Amino acid sequence: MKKAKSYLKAIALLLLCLMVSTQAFSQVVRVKGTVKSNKGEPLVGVNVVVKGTTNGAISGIDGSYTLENVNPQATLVFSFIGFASQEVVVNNRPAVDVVLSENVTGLEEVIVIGYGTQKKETLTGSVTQIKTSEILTTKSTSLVSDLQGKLAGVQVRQQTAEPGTFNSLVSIRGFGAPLVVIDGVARDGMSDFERLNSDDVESISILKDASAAIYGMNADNGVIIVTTKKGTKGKTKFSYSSFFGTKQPTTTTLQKSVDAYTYRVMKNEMDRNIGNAPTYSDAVLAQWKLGTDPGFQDYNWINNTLKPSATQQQHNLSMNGGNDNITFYSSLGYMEDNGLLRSNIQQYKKYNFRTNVTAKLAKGLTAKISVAGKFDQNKSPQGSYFWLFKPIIVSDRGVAPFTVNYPTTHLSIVPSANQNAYAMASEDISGYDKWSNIQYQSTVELTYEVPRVKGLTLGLLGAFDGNINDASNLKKAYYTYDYYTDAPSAAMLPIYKDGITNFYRKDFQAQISYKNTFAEDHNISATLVYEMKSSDSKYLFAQREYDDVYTHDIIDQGSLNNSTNGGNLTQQAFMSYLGRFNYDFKNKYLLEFTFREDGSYRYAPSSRWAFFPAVSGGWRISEESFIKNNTPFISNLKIRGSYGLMGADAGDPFQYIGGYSFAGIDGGYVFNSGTLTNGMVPVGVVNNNLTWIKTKTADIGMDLELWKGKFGFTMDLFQKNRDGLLGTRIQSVPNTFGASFPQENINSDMVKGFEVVVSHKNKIGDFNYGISANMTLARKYLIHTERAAYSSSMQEWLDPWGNNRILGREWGYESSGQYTNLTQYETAPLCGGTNGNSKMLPGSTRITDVNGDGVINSNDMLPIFWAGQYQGYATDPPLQYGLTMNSSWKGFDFNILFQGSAMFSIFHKVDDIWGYGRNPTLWSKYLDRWHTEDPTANPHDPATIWIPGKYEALKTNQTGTTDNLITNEWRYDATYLRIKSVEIGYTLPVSVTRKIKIDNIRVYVNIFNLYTFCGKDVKGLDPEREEGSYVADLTYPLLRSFNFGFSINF
Amino acid sequence: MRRKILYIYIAAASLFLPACKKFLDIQPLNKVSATTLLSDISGVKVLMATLYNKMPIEDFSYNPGKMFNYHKDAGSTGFVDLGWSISFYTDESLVTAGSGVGPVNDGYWGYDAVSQVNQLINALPTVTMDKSQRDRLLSEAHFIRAYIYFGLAKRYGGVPLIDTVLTYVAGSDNANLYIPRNTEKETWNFILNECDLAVQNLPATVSAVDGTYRATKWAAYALKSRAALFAASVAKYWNNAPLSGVAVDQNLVGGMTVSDANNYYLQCINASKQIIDNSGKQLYKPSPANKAEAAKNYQDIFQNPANADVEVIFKKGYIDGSVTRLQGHCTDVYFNPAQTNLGYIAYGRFSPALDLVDLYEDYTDDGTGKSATLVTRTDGVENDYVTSATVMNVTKPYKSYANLSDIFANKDARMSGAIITPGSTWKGVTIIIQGGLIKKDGSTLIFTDGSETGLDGKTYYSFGASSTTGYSGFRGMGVFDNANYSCTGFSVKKFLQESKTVTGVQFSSTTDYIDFRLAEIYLNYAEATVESGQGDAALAATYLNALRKRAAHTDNIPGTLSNILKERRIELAFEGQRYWDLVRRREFHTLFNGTKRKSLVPVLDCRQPTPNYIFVRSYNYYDQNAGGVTFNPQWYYRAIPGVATNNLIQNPQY
Repeated sequence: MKKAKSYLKAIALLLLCLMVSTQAFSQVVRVKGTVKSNKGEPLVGVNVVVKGTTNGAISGIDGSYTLENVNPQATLVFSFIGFASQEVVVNNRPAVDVVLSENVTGLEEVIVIGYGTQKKETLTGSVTQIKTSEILTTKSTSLVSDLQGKLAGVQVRQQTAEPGTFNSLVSIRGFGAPLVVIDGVARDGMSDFERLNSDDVESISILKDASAAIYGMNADNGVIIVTTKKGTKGKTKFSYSSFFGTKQPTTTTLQKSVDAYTYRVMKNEMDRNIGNAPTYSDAVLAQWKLGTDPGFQDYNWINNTLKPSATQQQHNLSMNGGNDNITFYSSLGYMEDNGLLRSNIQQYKKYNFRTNVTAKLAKGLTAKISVAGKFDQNKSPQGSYFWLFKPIIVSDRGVAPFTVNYPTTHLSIVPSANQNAYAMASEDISGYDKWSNIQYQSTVELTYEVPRVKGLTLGLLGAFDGNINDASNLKKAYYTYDYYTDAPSAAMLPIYKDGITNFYRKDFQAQISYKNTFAEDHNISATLVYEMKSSDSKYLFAQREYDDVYTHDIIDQGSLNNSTNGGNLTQQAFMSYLGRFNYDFKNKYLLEFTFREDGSYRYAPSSRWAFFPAVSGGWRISEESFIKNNTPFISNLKIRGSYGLMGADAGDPFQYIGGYSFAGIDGGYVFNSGTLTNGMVPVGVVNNNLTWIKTKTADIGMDLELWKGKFGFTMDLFQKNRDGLLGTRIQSVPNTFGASFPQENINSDMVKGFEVVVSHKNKIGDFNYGISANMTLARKYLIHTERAAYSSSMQEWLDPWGNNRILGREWGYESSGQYTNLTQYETAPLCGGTNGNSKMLPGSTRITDVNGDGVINSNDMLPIFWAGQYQGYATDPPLQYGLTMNSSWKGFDFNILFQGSAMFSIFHKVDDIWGYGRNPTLWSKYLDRWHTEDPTANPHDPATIWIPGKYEALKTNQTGTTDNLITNEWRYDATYLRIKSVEIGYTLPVSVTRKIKIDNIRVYVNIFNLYTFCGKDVKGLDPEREEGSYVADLTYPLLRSFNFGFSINF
Repeated sequence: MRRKILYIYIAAASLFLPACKKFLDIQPLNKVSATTLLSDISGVKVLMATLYNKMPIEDFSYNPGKMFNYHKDAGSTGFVDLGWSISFYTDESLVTAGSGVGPVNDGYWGYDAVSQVNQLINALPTVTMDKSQRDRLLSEAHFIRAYIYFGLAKRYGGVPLIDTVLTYVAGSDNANLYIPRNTEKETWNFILNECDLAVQNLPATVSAVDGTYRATKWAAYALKSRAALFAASVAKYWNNAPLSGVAVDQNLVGGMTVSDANNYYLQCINASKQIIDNSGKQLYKPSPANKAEAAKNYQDIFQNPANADVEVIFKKGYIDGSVTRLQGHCTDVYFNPAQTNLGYIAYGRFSPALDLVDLYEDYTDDGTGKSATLVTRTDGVENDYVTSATVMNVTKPYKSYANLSDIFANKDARMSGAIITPGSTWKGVTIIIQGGLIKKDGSTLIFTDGSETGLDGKTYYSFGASSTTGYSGFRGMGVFDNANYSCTGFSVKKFLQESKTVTGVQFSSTTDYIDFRLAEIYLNYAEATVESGQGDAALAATYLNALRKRAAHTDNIPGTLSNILKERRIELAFEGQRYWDLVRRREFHTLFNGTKRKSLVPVLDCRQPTPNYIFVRSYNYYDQNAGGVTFNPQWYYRAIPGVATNNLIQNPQY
């Protein structure tokens, strides 16, 4: 870190030196004045700049400012966030007082849309935009987390907080992963988006409906457009922000399992409950209880392997300034995220930079040059966290990491995973898994306002991006020994592997825009773009093992035996023509038409091109005189609608090309003695028909603003139909055809839903506040899925993937309470199949015999649960909501964000590590179980007295019982509302900061994932995180972080 | 300036715009076009490699109960399946753990290969290359297609004859893909016609540049000879095992007449004659000086087929699979007798039946060519079989031999070239195969580990040696995975390497498999001639006796059908012919009708001052336990796979 800091400083100095400042006027004066709002309050922090120079000042606490060396005929520019900018000519005055009017409605706000910008008031599409200030109210290591809950229609689910994993599920209206456009070019997708430096972001626009159609292919899930910060002219300003944080798992129950002695007592109980003899004798138990003899001591694997908290920090330095001809924004950032493992092997580090320069090259000709880069690297345990976490959880607390006889040298074999989590977490012992990524993105954009033709602009854009990813894995070999006898296990050979992906992308765009107003009321604009894009990705992989001795993690130092390598190259090319035409009459009746003609390398020339038109329109009712005159409190009322066709570029490429591919050794033949000729096989059916997935999107929306933005309401109804989803025809292939059928565009589905945003802003004295709530419900239907015919209507009913039904229901058993004594089983339905109820004990869930046949079996299942990740078709909860509140009073500001989702469930697999019986550990929560008062009593004797508990009588296996069936004991409603973030900041008074020549200092503390309101059972699991592979819930926990940060502008 | 700017814009834009057409035409990097492959001699080989690989050659890697190319996936459980022979389903031999008879269940349905050959035939005219090269490749494709359809026809009878590239039309009902079965006769005619097309432009010899294991004109004739004989036999003998059902009504199986049979026999005769007269092929070392030399010569053909190229018409090669992923075969590992096992857990798996051993002639050479049944008794009764040697009657007049090998002394050279008999020398080791002993008191110790002190005071062991490494027979019968000791009294020699070192791991054998050799063509000619009365009967007899002469026989025997068929069993023993001979001649169901294959159990008689050997004729342990084995007539045709979806008419009684 120290290194990084000094590095930052050096660069900052260098850039400073390079800055050109021109301040030479012959006749100059001093200008003073105050800036006030239209409500008469002095405005603090207003930027005052002499137009065309870098000479500027910031208004102070009383709204006053002073400018030296001002040409008496100069123009002053006053700008302040949330207020309309103003230009005032000094005109020889010594004092210039200004009143800025508030931009309360935000209607003047310019919204970034595809290939251009538009005023919010004339928008006809469903577009949401968020500005930098709103993004930065939540500070975390992921940009996606910073957005979560703030944007209507943007559904986010964080899957893990593991450092270096950027796999949050982001979905616009439940459609799936959106297209990400950064500074005009579709770049690297969600993972890249998540790693963007949030300080560099000027705004993010979300195109949710047919307005995305201008992006044609792959826009059918919606588009996220990121615009990065540009420089503003004026004196060079520096901004340094930083935060430090500590984070801990959101789930407190994670840390609790019973100790080695208690587990053994419980094991005996579980044995007895299934009629087995107890495993441990009283004498042995006594030794465990004593816990002092070697080999009989408790070792808390969880606490000894995981820390209660981890740290993170982030630093960002930016510079911004310029003159009339050149402005620039430049930033450097560093971020560090550490993991919970005590071995400190988990580390994510990111360095990023960005420089955006805007230069006026000639009259009307502007160049925007943007260069950005990122270097990030991650280190984690060899093998995934998942496979390390499992032994941490399931390891017997009666077995320590080193053997009884060699407590510092011999690593022990720990049941039940028979691994050693201590060794697995240690880089020195077991190796590592690392990746590093070098990314650069560059864009050069020229715009030329053609003289003499008002409103005509020509544009050229070229982008070149590259990415080098290096993933290496070192698996070191180590011996493990039996805990008691020290019998060694066989060690494998050390293996080192390294794979490098070299990627680059070229994008070229040529653009013509025209914008004009005719006869005062007819506003016309048009944009035509031609775009071509290509990318190459080359992969090279090598692996060697160390037969003799491990030396270094360098390929050359491994042995040649069993060395392997691999590599491939993929290329892509796309081409598009697109256009947009807008017409509005008096800003009242709005009409927009867009089209895009897209070509993809993927398909046959005949099915390569697709045309994606979209149309949208709006009516600003509030502009009509009957509203304007009668209900002036309605500042904006607009209804709008859009309909468009979009596409998704999918399917295996080049299916239209026949030819041969390698069959490998297995398809080879010996044509000459001792030589094998590898074979090549024809590729199967040549498929000329494969083409785009076609998506029709419709949206009807309404925007309402009352009392100049005091109250806002937006609502959208949407529907998206996808046709031509890939499938393979079920029509049986006659086995004389000799090949299988190819992918075709035959399936279809639909997503329907609505979203609502309600907001309120107000100001009471010095107290400003705003509340905004949003909610999105999006549900998916399968319209047609190619499938074999159902054998019965029952089978069809049981299929959760059935056609024409809402996805997202899960089958389970209905239940009501628990059986409380053995005699109840005499009349209860049969639960244990051939075992009858002979294995059932008190405390088991009373499952409803739905079909009344006296037997509990799969015929009694009902679609009673919301689905979860487990079923795979509902990874995003269909209903998501968020609420943000921000307020400020004098120097204080306060933000709070609530976020949550519903109509989802989480499954807690009973026979896996979260359950009991299978592994030599037990969660302490299971102590709250039905058990016999006398631990040695026969549990199957009706006379035995039981003590009730939340869980049934525990058993080492559930055969012959209903205890492992899916009931609400194991599948929980995951509805939650979470205080996602809370931030309190304080900006030091200007009177103080000015003394140290600093414009602004703000300090803040924030808490991320503060508290979650949800069902009791899901609390221990975190309802947001998904269960992960094998539904085992072994993914890295989500974290609650406490951060302290500050920002200085000077 | 303005103008300049505009020019820059126009130039930049126009630079990219016209480039468009080609911009999206990037080529896939994981595929190679047929043109690229076919225009390069190595490319042709690569393309052909897959097609040859897919030919249903019943080689060492063929497991008739599993699949072709069974070397691909060893698996941990089915290891013994790797050493398997179609011979185990006949009266030639058994797998040492016992095997029944019945249809081959290899699941062969080579339409993926058919489709690939059709694509090649389709593509060839579109590729620029020498006409001679194209014609040759076309003929080669026809050879492969003939081979594939022969593999289908002999299993299923009439099959859908698809000789064009079928086009899948998305969204249509694809009725064009549902090709019905052709009649059996049409199928045979198609195969023979394909052979004719193959013969046209295949070269007479292949060079190392092309690959010496590629098909020649003579391979195509040989295929035709074999296929035509098959077709003719089915046509002639169909009525020995008539079937009924829709498939029969529509002539999808059977439905051929005597004149069809004669036509096919004639085609066999002509094709065979082409090879005999024009190929330059000759029998390998046709005139040995003595019996020992003949045996050596015969053994050498199969140990090193490359040296016998004068006789071999088409063979398949291997490379050491223990080095290059599973591309060898397991013959040596699985089939060496226990005493010379290579160290793998399974060995000694090939147990030739006494039925075959009895068939070989001796060298009395009196012009009759009769089989020399082993002499086990002094009373001349050689048809007395015990259900198991354990229940032998020690009082029967067994003939006593001083040495284990004496009983085989005068047998045909080809027996010792193909079979390891008890007491013979193999790899410098005397192979001991002994089932037990008769104790001094007359009680027996059979198939059980034990010993007896003889009257000479020496210790004798029931299996012939004190340790399991000292003998090769009869241990662990009934214990499948341990059945590494001959269950018949014999072990196989044909195909095994005697001098060349082979490592004791799976897939380490690289001995070539001989698919066609001149001896079969001689016998095809002889059989077709005698069966049909066409061709030259004298020549048929000449060919028959040429084979015998090569085995050091000195007399000439008449070219009768039975002599020819017996010669075929002897000359081509274990070469995969017997199974299909029984099928095509419809002899399977009469031969195997509750039938038990026989074993010869050598027993040491310790009642004599110096223990001597007697030989007990016994039913094979496994066949006896199974109550005999039976071949059901419907098995002459396999069940057509996938009739539920391909709409084909199923074969009778499936």
